Amino acid sequence: MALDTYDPSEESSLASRRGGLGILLAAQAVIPVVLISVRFLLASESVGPVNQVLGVLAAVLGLVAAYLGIQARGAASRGERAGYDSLLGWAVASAVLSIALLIVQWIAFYGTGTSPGSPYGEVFYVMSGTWLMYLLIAAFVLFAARVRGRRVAYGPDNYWDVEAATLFMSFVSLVGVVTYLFLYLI
Amino acid sequence: MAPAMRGVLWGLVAFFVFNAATLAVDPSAESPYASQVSVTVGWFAAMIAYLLGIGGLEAVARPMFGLSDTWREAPGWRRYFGFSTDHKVVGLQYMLASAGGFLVAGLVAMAMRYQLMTPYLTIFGSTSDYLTAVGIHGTIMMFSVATVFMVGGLGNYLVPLMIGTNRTVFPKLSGLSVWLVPFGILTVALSPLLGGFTTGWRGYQPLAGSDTNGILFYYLGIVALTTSSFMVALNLTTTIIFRRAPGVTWNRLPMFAWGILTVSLLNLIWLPEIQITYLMNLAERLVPLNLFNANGSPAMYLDLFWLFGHPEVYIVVVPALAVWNEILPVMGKKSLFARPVAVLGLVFVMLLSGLVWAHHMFTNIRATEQLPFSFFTEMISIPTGFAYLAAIGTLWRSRLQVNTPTLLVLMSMFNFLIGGLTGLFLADVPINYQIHNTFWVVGHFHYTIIGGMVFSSLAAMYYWLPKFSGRMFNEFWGKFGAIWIFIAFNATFGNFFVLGLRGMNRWVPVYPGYLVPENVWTSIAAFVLGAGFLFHAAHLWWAWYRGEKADENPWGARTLEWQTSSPTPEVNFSRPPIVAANFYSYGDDAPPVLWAGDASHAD
Amino acid sequence: MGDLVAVFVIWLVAGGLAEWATVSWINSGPWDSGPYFYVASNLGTVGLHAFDFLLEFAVAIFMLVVVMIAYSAVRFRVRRGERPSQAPSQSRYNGTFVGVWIVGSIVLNLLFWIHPTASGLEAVYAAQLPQNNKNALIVDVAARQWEWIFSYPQYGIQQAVNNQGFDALWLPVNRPVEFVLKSYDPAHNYENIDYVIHSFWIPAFGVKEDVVPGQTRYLYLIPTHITSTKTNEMVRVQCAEVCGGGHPYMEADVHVVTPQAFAAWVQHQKHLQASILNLEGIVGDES
Ligand code: HEM
Ligand SMILES: [Cu+2]
Repeated sequence: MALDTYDPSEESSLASRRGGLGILLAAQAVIPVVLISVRFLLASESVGPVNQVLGVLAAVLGLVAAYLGIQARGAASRGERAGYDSLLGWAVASAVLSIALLIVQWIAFYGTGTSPGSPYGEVFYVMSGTWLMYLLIAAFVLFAARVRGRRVAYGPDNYWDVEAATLFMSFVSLVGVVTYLFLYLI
Repeated sequence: MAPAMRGVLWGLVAFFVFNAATLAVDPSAESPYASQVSVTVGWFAAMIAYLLGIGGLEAVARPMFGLSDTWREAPGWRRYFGFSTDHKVVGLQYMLASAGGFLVAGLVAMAMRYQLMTPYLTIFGSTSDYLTAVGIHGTIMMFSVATVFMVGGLGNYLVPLMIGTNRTVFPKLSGLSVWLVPFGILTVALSPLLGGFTTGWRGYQPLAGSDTNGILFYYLGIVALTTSSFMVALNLTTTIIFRRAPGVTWNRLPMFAWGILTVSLLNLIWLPEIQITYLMNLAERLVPLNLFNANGSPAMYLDLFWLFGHPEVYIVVVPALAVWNEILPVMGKKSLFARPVAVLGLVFVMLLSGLVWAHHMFTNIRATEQLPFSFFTEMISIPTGFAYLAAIGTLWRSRLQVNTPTLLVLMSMFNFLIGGLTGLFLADVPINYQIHNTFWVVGHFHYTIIGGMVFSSLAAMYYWLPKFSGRMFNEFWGKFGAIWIFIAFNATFGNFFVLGLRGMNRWVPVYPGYLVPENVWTSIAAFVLGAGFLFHAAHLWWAWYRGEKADENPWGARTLEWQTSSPTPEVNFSRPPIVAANFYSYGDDAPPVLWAGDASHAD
Repeated sequence: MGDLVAVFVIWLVAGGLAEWATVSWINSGPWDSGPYFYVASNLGTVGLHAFDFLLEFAVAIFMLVVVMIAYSAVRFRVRRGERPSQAPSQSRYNGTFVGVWIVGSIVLNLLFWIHPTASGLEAVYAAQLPQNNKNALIVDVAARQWEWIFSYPQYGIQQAVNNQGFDALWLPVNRPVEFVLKSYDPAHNYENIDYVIHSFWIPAFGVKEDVVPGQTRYLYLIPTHITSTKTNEMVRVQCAEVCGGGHPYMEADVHVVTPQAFAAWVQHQKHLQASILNLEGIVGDES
């Protein structure tokens, strides 16, 4: 083994950060698994009066945000300042819109008169609430990556922040899809 | 202003501001000063403000938004009272915070034992107050001592050194995470302000649902403490995978690093599980929901709790088992026996620990579930035994220096053996029907935790003291203290088994009179034990500053942390170590650990 | 070789002494209750036999490991005045030792699982079959915060109490009892969500069963000796799952009596109940 692998260059330190983030996301995947089990235990396969359109849109917007983030990561790694800035901006916007749709869904759901204490009601609020919490964090880190990009120029050897935010957003978009599937469809 | 002070101040301000703001819009507020929701929101705001205050603002928040990192660590001892990215500082901060938790929860235990000297209430105003004390004791001990001292403390300090690196992969992460420990301890300890909680450390539902609001601080405190442990697990796992020095192959990875790695994997899987469970509990109270009461499923909470709760106990004990096999080869100057078996033991314990949770619920579950769970529970003792196999094989025909660390390791093996064998009885379902939720159980887990983990932690403190401080403890007083706590410990907790068999159940400050004499003796022994721990703390403190100057490698150990000067220099290794031989090979013809020649030919 | 023989001999001697002490403990107490101190039910006896069996093995295992550790620490130590040096033997593996250890621990654990665990459970399950409990006395047990309430539907006793008005459990000796366990409050109409988990435990009967809100659980057992809380305080009902502030007070007296005494007690309870209902003027409201 050669010495240079010991004192990590930017490259290998990037590998370790990617590895670490991967471990974090894998560990977070435990949470949807727990929630899905709770969902079946309490509400079996019933589905309450949810609005499918709002659910699909929220999940799709999450995917869009992740996609835009991935594009932004590419632009950042090429050092295209204007490119990553606007892509990140749109990614944040999609995430925020997804959040807004979830909140609208909450209001609509509450309006149907389903009690939050009913089996589907509590499963609904717990699962979509977790989704919402993840979206809030993802929107925040994407936003931070954008603000940082305006002060610190991203480039071929400095784009980890965009990548990390994007990876997180991708994870959250998957949480969104899974939540949609198990909460709205089944 | 010291960063710690600033953090506390900001935290307080944030709490009051957010509490008041939430109260203004909260329709459910029951009191003009606070509601459940406002306290929760205020608490989260306080946590963030506090983390910013201890240095997170300059070191984390600013760079996150592209501003320069303006954080400067204070010089000298004051750097321990603020954010730091040095894994050694973080490790010591963890140890101190954890020791603080031990002190607080230990004093509470003394109060409990004082109460138990009489069959009627004395120092506790009500039975609920006593139950609150039990809950605070158990929660702080489990979440800030048992799972933290060795992993966050020794792990952060030693693992990077042992694998030959100068820093962890995410130094800022652990820089922040350690500050969640005092925050969490304080939260739990302050739960009486909101009325305390009667559920004990397990927070059983549906009781928790009808408890007073103090249970909020139980949930929130655990959220803080588990977040801290999760961050440590993430950082150390990544560090062990990616930052091993050349030659530190998986085959050569030190035992303690293996221990921390397996434990960290357990933490990574099960801490998110319990965190989401506690967030659901929080929602259940605040909204309110019916997840865990009779309209939902009370048994679901028990399952969710013990799914985490059982791996938790291996999180406690696996590093201790690793420490035995770290210290014994060094003190016996004999190669570690059957190392692969010992490592496999740790890994199998980790895997099996997810399959045994319902043995905490034998009096609750279906008959069909009892047999499989008792099966896996009894089987898990096999890989646990591998730690003994390796240790005894190493001791055999060694040249053992029976000094304080060795003695404490041997005592730990003795105690943990009793802890394990008494677990055998609990795993047998018909016996469990009788001794479940009695003092037998309390004796069993104190034997594993204090007897196993706390004794091993003390052994580790003595063993690595020269590393931490460059000074040596006093051999006589060290042994004196070890024998002291060994006798007092066994006198205290050995009695717990008999109390349990005689019908003393858990969570009772008031009990039938026939149990008084035995309880009195137990309490007296417990006080002696408490004093013994204080004695060790004082001795270690004294040795840290006043002890004799120690050699760089006083034990003649081969692991990497001893291959740099003691106390550890600011930069661990000025020249990257290249490992060319096994860390645990002793004997006159053992090859040197470090590669001495040209770096490009290493390995 | 010499060291091995020494360890073996010390183990035989010390272990033998420990086993002797163990056996005398096992044979102590009323009805050889030994480590259980006081056992007065069929289920308790199953647990006690398992306990005795495991204890004998556990003591032997414990002594073996402790002798190995202590012997090594004494025999192989660096003595005062000697200089520490590398150990003469550096054996890192010994197939026989590792093999015996691993096979031994697997065999022992399988044994323990088959007997006493599985065999004991078999006995417990058999004791729970309704066909093995013909003519069982039915006792409805309501656990509420914080009281045990016993009613005897076969005898029309709604709440069995003693002369001071405290709840009390009376059982005839050697007759099967079916406990029907529920967590609720018969006297109040709280919401379902206010009930918590309790655990029905009679230490002298060697068994406990959790009482979970929303569920009905059954426990069959046979009291095997005439006794009462006054005779031995292990003969008491005690809540064994923390259930709030009153948990320590959640206990009740138990009397195991002859069938004749039980019949007399039933009559007494009926009179008591009638007089109370008369006092309250609600006779006839309930069937
Ligand atoms: C310093 C000596 C200690 C004494 C005298 C002591 C004593 C006690 C006592 C009397 C109880 C209450 C049992 C009951 O009524 O249920 C208890 C519970 C407990 N202790 Fe300790 N303890 C000590 C140290 C520790 C340590 C070091 C730990 C773990 C690191 C620990 C963990 C626990 C836990 C988890 C509980 C259960 C709390 C519950 O039921 O919720 N204790 N201890
Ligand atoms: Cu109870």
